[in-house]
Order: sequence, then structure tokens, then C-alpha cells
Amino acid sequence: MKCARCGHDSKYPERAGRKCPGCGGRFAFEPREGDPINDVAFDKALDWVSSGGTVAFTMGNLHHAVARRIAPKSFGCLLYAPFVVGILGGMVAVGAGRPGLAATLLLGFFGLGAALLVGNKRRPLGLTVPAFQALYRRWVDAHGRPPKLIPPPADRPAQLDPALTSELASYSFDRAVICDRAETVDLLLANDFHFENNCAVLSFDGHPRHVFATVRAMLRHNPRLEVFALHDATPFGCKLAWLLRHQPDWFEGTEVRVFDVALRPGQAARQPRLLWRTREDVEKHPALTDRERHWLGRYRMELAAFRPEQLVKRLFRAMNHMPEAASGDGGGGDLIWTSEATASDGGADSFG
Amino acid sequence: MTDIAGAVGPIAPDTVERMLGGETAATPGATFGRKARPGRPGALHREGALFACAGHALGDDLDARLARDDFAGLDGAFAAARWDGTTLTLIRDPFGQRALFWTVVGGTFYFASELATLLAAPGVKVELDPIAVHKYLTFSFVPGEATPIAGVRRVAPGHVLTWRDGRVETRPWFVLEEHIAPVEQGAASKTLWRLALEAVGRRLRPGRAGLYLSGGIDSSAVGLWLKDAGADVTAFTLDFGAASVEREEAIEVARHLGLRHTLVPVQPAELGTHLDAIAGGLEMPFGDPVTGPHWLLGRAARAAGFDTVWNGEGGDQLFGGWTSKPMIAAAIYGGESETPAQQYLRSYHRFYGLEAELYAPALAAAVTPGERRATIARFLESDRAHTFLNRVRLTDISLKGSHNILPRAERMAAAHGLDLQMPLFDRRLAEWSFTLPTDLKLHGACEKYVLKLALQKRLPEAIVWRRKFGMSVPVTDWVLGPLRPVVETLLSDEAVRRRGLLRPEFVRALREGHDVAGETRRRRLGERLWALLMLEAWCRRFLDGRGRPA
Repeated sequence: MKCARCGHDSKYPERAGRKCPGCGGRFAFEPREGDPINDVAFDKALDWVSSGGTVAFTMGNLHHAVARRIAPKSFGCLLYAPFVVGILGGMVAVGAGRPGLAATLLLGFFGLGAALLVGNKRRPLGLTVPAFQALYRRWVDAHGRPPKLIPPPADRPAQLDPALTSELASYSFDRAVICDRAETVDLLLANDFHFENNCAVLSFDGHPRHVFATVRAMLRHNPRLEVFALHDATPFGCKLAWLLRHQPDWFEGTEVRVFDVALRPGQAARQPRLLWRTREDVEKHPALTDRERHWLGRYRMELAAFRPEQLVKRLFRAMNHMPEAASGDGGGGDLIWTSEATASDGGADSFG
Repeated sequence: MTDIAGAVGPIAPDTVERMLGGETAATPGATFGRKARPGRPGALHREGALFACAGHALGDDLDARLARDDFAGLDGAFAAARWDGTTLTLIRDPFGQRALFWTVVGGTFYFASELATLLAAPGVKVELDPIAVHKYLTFSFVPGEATPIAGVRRVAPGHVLTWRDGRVETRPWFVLEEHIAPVEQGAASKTLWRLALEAVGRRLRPGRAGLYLSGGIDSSAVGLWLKDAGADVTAFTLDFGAASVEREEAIEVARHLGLRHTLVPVQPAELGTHLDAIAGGLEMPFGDPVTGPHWLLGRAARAAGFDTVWNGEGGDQLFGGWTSKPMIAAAIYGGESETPAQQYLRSYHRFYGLEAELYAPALAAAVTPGERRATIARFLESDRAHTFLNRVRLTDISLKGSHNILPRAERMAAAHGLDLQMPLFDRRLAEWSFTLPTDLKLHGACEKYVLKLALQKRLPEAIVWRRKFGMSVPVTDWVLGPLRPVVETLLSDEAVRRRGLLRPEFVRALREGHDVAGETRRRRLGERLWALLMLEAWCRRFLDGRGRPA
């Protein structure tokens, strides 16, 4: 097993006390003693989730990144074995003058192969939160806290003096991203989405607490404000845009346009390997179609499953294209969101 | 346009003439020179004192002003020098449109309004100043009095420099200060209209006027005021083909105002062949990709027989353009790890924060921490403005305006022998803008509100009130497309290694189309590559060639 610090490759008996014989550093994990992951794989998950240490990420992002690493591997070429066996068996059966058996073999093995392929593709993630937290604590004990990890959402004291707040509060934003979770807000803020896009970022339930009232009041100063709802594929998340349009303390009665960026079930279903399983009855709601209710009763998908770099790029692209693409009713964002995003010039890339 | 140069101290009699190539005048101890196009503003005389001026002060005898040390209300676009037998005085216009470089070699003080002229002075060493490069890589221009050539400095915009008995002293003669006075919207828009018309009128000379018309509100406003002042205006608009963002708006404005209108096609491959001329014309490294198109605009205006062109630069800086918005967003949310100065540095979107990846070890070792923040803090933390918005405005005018927008535009016009008029960077207009309540600048999310109020009855509503669109230069397509051969040559691994400033692997990644992770805007890649391209082009022209064409 290789050391994540020095790269030294050691045999199990050489790692006495779980220490690397190359650099003396402590290993966080020992797969030979039942751990589901090794240090190099965890380190790769950190590198992946932070895009090489350049992008801030949440604990949820890391959870998903690690879960991907320890998800049972795809069976790769073995998945095609039933097809090969079916063809070979069929040929042998035909050679032996038994066409009926050949047809049976072909149908049977092809059916098995197809089932394995579909099942493999649709297998959702399986690392529970407590299990991940246990792994994370062991990583921190051995390697320290990852530098780009965003601390959990917390209340902070107001930082601005009243005179400055009073002046700034008279201005507004061009756009606002309203999220269903504080973690998503913190992810965007930590990666300067607000700064880069002159964009307010708030959660529906009032995060960040120390500026929430000020920023929400600022939004009212711009009648041409564009609002983008960003949420997990959960029953509450999928109601978010509807709630923003229909609640008086948000945008009911205004001409503000609210766009539902993601994640709707239709968008989430395109990423079957990022889903979590659930079982729940989802009540009827005007924001949910019957098909979405059915899906939400079986699956969840968190925005945290996306690599932060991708989330930011997809959101940027969606915000620049959805107002143009939409017919005015706030729809039409599925394809904008679901395709892989690179840095984009965006149709309304208005700032500097 | 006119250029000047001079020397105070022991020199050979023909030194200034050889530096500048124009007429000279001398008094004991000093020689000044001027190189002028007929009819262009400028002066050289020795009536009482020796005096040389490039450009001109609006309606003023600058020589007399310098003699009296009187700068009240002084305005214009000029760089001038005066020698009274004991003291040399250099002065630059309030916003830094004209440049004035200086150095001291062997006890002789040399100055010139063009860098290449100064580098022709005997004994001037041409060695790179790494701090200036460090700042360039953050701002895309070099702010402050330093230049990228160690030992060569500039008079700061709105400053006076004196040289007496071997000692240099500088002091500001023009400072913007915030004095907000309550005013009704209607009255404010009328005052703006009056001041703007006066600003145009003071600069207007007989003959045809060329106008760089982008299709945005600022240049449209200048076109409107020129028409109102009775000028014969022809508009020039860049045509980026399918990538044009405001071309149709420019066509609409020209039609609305009844202006003759010329679309200037931009062929990026052609810019590649003129890169050395652009770098040479700019004199200082400027990394904004708008310089190439500006060079083409100047060429088109000159080819059409114009000798004066106008633009609408300054509206954002004076009246609260979009650049305030990111800073407001950052201030509201509060950076836990960054000061406003650091956030402002990041807003330039070049290489701030990427130093470890970009800088070669020698450059990294030469950089002292805090230089850039100190440059910003002088304005962003100044007590000359008390509102947050005006502190950002003051910083924008002093840095982005005076060290970037004005000089680069003037140089790209001058490269074709054009005088450039920027009436929005007018002293009275600027001083008045700092008396406005801030909500007349940024009104909710509406930028330049008072300017829009002033124009709403005279320009189409869609032009006045439409949302601001960003700079339209499709530079990423250029550097990864038609300009790729130039990029591959000037920024090859070997070229980068030989220059010794940057890490080849970082530049290579950009060349191959890989921007920094998390960058959402594709155009940033092109902006970064262009900035590096212009730095190398500048180094070749001025470091390797002392300002002579490659």
C-alpha cells in the first residue's frame, strides 16, 4: 500500500503501528484490517473534490467523493461475460444440431447480461453519514484538516458598522441564488460566486443569519431582479421555486422572475450513480408532478454529489442562459444544467 | 499630437535633438525639445523660462500657471516642463492622459513624454523592475510612478514634480474629494447635462470629429453632446462579426443621432502582425485585449482623414458603473480571510492569488509582500471619501482610469497621430460627481443612474435602460485560434524560460486552453494569455530593443 505523503509502497508486515516505513507518517486507514478505503484513495477523493486544492468544498461534497471511491467497483469487462458465454454456447449448440437449445442459451445469457448492465449502472451510493464521519475523523487524526474544507454553517456576529450597512443596504443585486440548504450557500460564498456574479446568495430558511435580513431587503430594490432556486432533489427542494414565487416575504406579488435551476427529479435521474435510496410518501403539491412525486418517494440526490467546480460552472451557465431560454415561465433549464460545464462565456455575462 | 523631451544638467548640445528628433530650445543648464505635427497642440518656447508642453491645458497659459504655482481649475490633457534657471518643474494633467517619464543619469535629469525617447538618452540602463512586473500581472497595467524599467519613473497624474539642486520632490496639484450635497434627481440630471456640454465645448476644435461609438450609453452620450455642440461627427464602431455584442446598438444610436457611421472589421490574425507596433505604441505594458481593437479603430479614423477622435471612457468611473457591484457584494458578505483591498485586487482577474503557480523562482524571490495592497489602500482606505461607493470610485478613477484607461486609449490613438478627447474625464464633471448622493450613481442595481436620467429623453429607451453587457472582445477565440501561431512563438516554453519571469508549465497549460480550476468565464483564459502575450511583446520591444521596432 502506498503512503499518501511520500509515495513509499509498503507490504502489510512493514507497516507496524500503521506507520509508513518510508517517512514515518501515520496511516489513517488499513484495508488489511477491514477499512473500506486506503489513504491514497481518500487523498485522491480530496484532490478530486477540491479540483487539485483550488476550490472550496463542503463536508457533504467530501462525503460523496469518498462514497464514490469506496462504492463497489464496476465489474468492467466481466459484465459482458454473459453475452460471450451466450454466443459461444449458442454456437456449440448449433454445431451439435440443437437450435432450440442455442436460442434458449442466447436469450437467457443476453437477458442476464442486460440485467447486470442496468443494475450496475443504477446502483446508488451507499456510504452512510456516520460511517463517513468516522472515516473523516480518522483522516484528520492522521493528516490534519483539509485546507479547502468549508466549516459547517454557523451563526456569525455582524461584521459591518451600522453606517456602512446603511449605505450598502440602499443598493441591490442583479441576481439572487436562493438555496434550500445552508451548506450550498456556504459553498457558493466560499468560492466567491457572489463576488464574481454580483449575486446575492441566501438560503430559504435564513442563512447566513448575520446578513440575511439586509440582503433580502436589498433584493426588493431591484424590480428587474432574476432569482435562481438551487436545491437538492428532495420534496422540499423541488418546492423551493414555487415557495419563492408564492410567499409574501419572498417574491409574491412582484414581477421578479424565479427560475428553478436544479435539481428536479428529471435532472437527477440522469445521474443514477449519484442517487441515494429512500422510501417515503410524498404528498401532492402544485410544485410536483405525479411522476416527480413517485421518483422522490424512492430516491434523493444532493447537490453535494456534484464536484464543486462543476456545480459553480453549471450554475453560472444556467443563470446566463435560463432567462433567455425560458419563455417567461421559468422553465427550460434541464439541458443547460445536466450537460458537463466548462468555463463559459454565457449569453449575459455582464460583468467585467 | 506632440511629444516633448528635455534634459537639465551637463549634456552634449545635440543630445535632446538626437533623443527626440524634433526642434529644440536651450538656456544655460537645460535643453528642451518638441516634436509636433502641424496644428497639433503643444508648445516650446523660452520667454522668461524654458517651457515645453505636449498637449494643452484647456483655455490656460500653463507656463504662467506654473510660474504662479496656481492650479485652481486647471484641466486638459498635457505633460509639460518648465525650467526657470534654478528649478525644473514637471506637470501632468489631472487624470493622466499624457505621460511624462523621467530619470537621472550622472547628475543630469532627463524627461520625455514618450518612453522610447527617454531610453535614447545617453547612459540610461534598461533593466527590468520585478515589482512592476508583479503589479502588471495583477492589474494588467503598472500603477504608480514606477515603470517596468528600473530607474525610469513617471510623474503621477495630477502631480507636480520639481528638481532643484539634485533633489526630486513631488506633490499633488489635483485631488478628488467627496463633498456630498443633497440634490433632486431632476436638478442633478440638468447639471450633468450642462457640465457635459461644457466639457465637450471646451475640447471641441474646428473640423470633423471622429467618435469611437461602442453602442453603450457613455459613447452614445458623447455623440449626442457633440451633435448638440454643432460638431460634424463620424462614428467608428468595432465589428467583431458574429461575436459582436453591441454593434447593433451602435448602428441604432448612429441612426438615431444622424451620424455617419463606419464599422471597422476586426481580423484577429491581422492584430498578430501588428503586435510589435501595438506594444511599441502603448509604451507601457497594458494587458487588456481592448488595445488591439483600439489600434484598428485609430487606423481607420486616420485613414478616413481624421486627426481628432472622441470616446466615452469615464462614465463607469465617474457615475458608478458595474465595477462597484462586486465590491459591494464582497463588503456585504464580509470576507473572512480577505480585506477589501485584497478583494479589489482579485477583481482584476489576472494572476492575483496564482503567484505560486505562475512566477519563476527569481521573480517570486524579488517580490516583497504588501506592495500591491499598499497601492490600493491609498485610495480604498482614503479619508478623501467617506462612502463606500465613492471610495471604490476614487480607487477606480485613480488606478484603472488614470493608469490604464486614459493612457492606453491615448497611446493607441497617438500611434496613428490622432488626438484623443475624453470629455467624461473632465475635471469639473469629476469634481461634481463627488458631490452627488451615492444613490444617484448606483440606484438599487441600476448603474450610472443620473447619467441615464439625463439621457432618457434624448436617446432610445432600450439604449439607456438596457442592462450592461461586458466587454465584447472575443479574446479567447483569438488566442486559441487565429493568434495561436503568435502565442506559440512569444509564449513558447523556450521563450518563457529565456525571459525567466514565469513558469513555462503554467503558461503552457493556458496555451493549451486550460484555465485555472473554478474559473467560470471562458474569456478569462484569453485575457490572461493576452496579458502575458503583451508583456512579452513589451519586453521584446523595450527591454531587448530599447523601444525600437523588432
